[in-house]
Amino acid sequence: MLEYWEWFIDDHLYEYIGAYMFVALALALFTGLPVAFALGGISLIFGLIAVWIDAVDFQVFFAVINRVWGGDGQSGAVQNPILVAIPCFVFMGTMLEKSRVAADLLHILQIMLKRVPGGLALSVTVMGTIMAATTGIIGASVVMMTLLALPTMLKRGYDPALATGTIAASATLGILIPPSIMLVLMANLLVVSVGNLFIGAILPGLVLSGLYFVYILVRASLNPSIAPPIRDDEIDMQPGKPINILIYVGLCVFAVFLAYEGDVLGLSEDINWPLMAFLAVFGISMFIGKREGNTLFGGILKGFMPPIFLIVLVLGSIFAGWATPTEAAGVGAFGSMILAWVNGTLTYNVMREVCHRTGLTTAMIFFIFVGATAFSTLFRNVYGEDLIIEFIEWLELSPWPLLLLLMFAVFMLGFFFDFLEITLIILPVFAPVIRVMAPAFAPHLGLEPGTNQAAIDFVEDQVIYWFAILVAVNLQTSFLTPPFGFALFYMKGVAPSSVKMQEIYRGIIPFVTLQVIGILIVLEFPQLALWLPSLVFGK
Amino acid sequence: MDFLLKTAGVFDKIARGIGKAASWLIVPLVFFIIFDVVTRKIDWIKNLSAEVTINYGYSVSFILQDLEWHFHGMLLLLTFGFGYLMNAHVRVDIFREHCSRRRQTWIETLGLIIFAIPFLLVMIKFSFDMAYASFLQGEGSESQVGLGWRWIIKSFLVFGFLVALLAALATLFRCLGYLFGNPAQHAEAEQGIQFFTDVGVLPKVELDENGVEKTGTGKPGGEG
Repeated sequence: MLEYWEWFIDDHLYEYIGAYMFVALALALFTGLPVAFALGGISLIFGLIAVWIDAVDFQVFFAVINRVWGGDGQSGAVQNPILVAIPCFVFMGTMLEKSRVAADLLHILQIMLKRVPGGLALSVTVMGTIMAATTGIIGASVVMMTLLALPTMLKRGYDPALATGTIAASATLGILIPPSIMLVLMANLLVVSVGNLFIGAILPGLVLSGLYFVYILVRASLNPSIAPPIRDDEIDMQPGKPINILIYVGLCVFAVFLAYEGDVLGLSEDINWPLMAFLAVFGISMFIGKREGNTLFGGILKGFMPPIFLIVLVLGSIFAGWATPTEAAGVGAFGSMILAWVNGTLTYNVMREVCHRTGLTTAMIFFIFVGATAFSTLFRNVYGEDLIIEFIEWLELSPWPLLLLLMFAVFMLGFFFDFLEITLIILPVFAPVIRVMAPAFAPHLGLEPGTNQAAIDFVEDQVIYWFAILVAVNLQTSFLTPPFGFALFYMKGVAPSSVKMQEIYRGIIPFVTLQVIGILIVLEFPQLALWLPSLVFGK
Repeated sequence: MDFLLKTAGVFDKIARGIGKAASWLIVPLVFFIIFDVVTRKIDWIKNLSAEVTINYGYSVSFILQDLEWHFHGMLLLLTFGFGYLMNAHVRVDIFREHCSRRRQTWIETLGLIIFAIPFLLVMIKFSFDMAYASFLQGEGSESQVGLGWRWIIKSFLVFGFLVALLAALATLFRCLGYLFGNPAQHAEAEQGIQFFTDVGVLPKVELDENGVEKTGTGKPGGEG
């Protein structure tokens, strides 16, 4: 017996402590304690065990703090200029909720799409896609979209399952379509460029949105009773006063003329005139939009200009290389304040509420970050990563089945966990495996396997970008999969009480199927994720 | 027991107050970024800051960029405790939501004693070591022209985990009051405990007729 015990401690535990750590973590997570506490506690307990069997030194926890701190230009939470983007994007998204932007956009989309079958559901999809390009968080946006759209849809006789599914799926696009805090975290963990990942996620996001669109259109055409059309007389709008349209076009042409031909008039070179012209067009649009009031022209200006303003400000400046993603996030946060101010919703109370919510969301993200850092540092120090690589070698899978297996694992984990846990715990474990497999995927990506170091690195990076986008689409799905789809929870929290959880579950199934189709499309056509960045950043 | 509950109230107020105050740091952070981005594009300000660098050995842009992550660091570290008191931290509630309130309190109590508090204590110890070492070495900015005195921001690691510890202790004391107190204490503790699954976690939100969220209906800062 004693012999067995010695063998257990000296050989077995020494070698397999990483595996026990993982199992214990799974158990601890399911107790329902805050995830960060479970991660930290498990790493402390196993750290002590590892110290006891002489596998590590207690100073390993200094390494944890060091990695929480950062400063080496890649990992770390505090001294890390990349992650400054996260509170800014959270602030931007939360502030946007408080301005009237989403409501105005939905209003005008509804009118423009009223003749199309399922017009209201389609306008929710389009709104979700556009708003996704202005916000990097979900949760709040699900609440917002449910409050805005669900009562109207139910009143018009939409099938509750279709209505809730549409809203949940469209709202979660926010986490995939850039700017996105999930992509910022992923880029940080995988040590790749945030801008590249942002731009790579645009096309897959649009593909998903297109899939939703087609699905709703087909279902509404086949069975109009689940998505009744809007009666013509119900919302009717005057097209707009010609004089205002004339003034508007005139002013815009003048602004653009200033931007490009400014030196003819001897304007100062010190000022960025294209930027000024852009701001002027925005200002003119908002002013004329207010003057027009409730007409089609005014509605279009008020509905579309604010999101376009933010998209140009944030994505445009990353696209054009004017600003780093972090700076773009700060500029976007400022832009959202301007939008709230223009719409007259920027009061002290709103500001306080937005700040507090931003603080809470930031705390939530980074507390898990601290716990996950503790866990992964310990896990690496007891050679847990080697165990995983050995396990995968033992499986003797070729690269493709392995990739599919990883995707399936992330999908299954998505049923129980949030994107944060999966990104912060699982991604660092999987990414090295994919890096090793990179040459095998090179032909599928249309690349030559590298011969010199630079070429090998390039191929590895491309494969990692593709993999990251795949995981991102997969993780967006995790918001939708019952029983623990966060979007479904947020939705249930604010939906009218007549909507049952079963209906929400039933409504989400087709959209989860569409998500899986989306993942398969990106798997089959990696250029969706890689073509746009290569265009922007060059080869 | 009354003493414990009173202490819990005090700790709660401190952690909540610090967290709420730290939440406002996002505003200066955004303004630093805006200022940095805008001034980099304007020539006469660029010349002015170049002169500062030549005369005083500091670069305005580097200082701003250092300030950005300094404020980000303070924001994220000081809100940990606030987040816990508002139950904003992610939990995997799949089994817990089927438990009674008493069992949930037991789970939380054990979790706090076994997991959270020891972990936070270890983090406090090592982050103190780190800040102290930084102070002794007189560590400054890596770029030489940025913000110096690195130990100040490093000591926010200690403060952050301390505030989180206060929040954890406040919750622990309330759990003990709930489990072992007399009926009055039991009721008082139950009022203060934030993690029951049967209470709406999400703030109630309503829209007015314009589609704008009404303010004041959801209380993001909570009571107290």
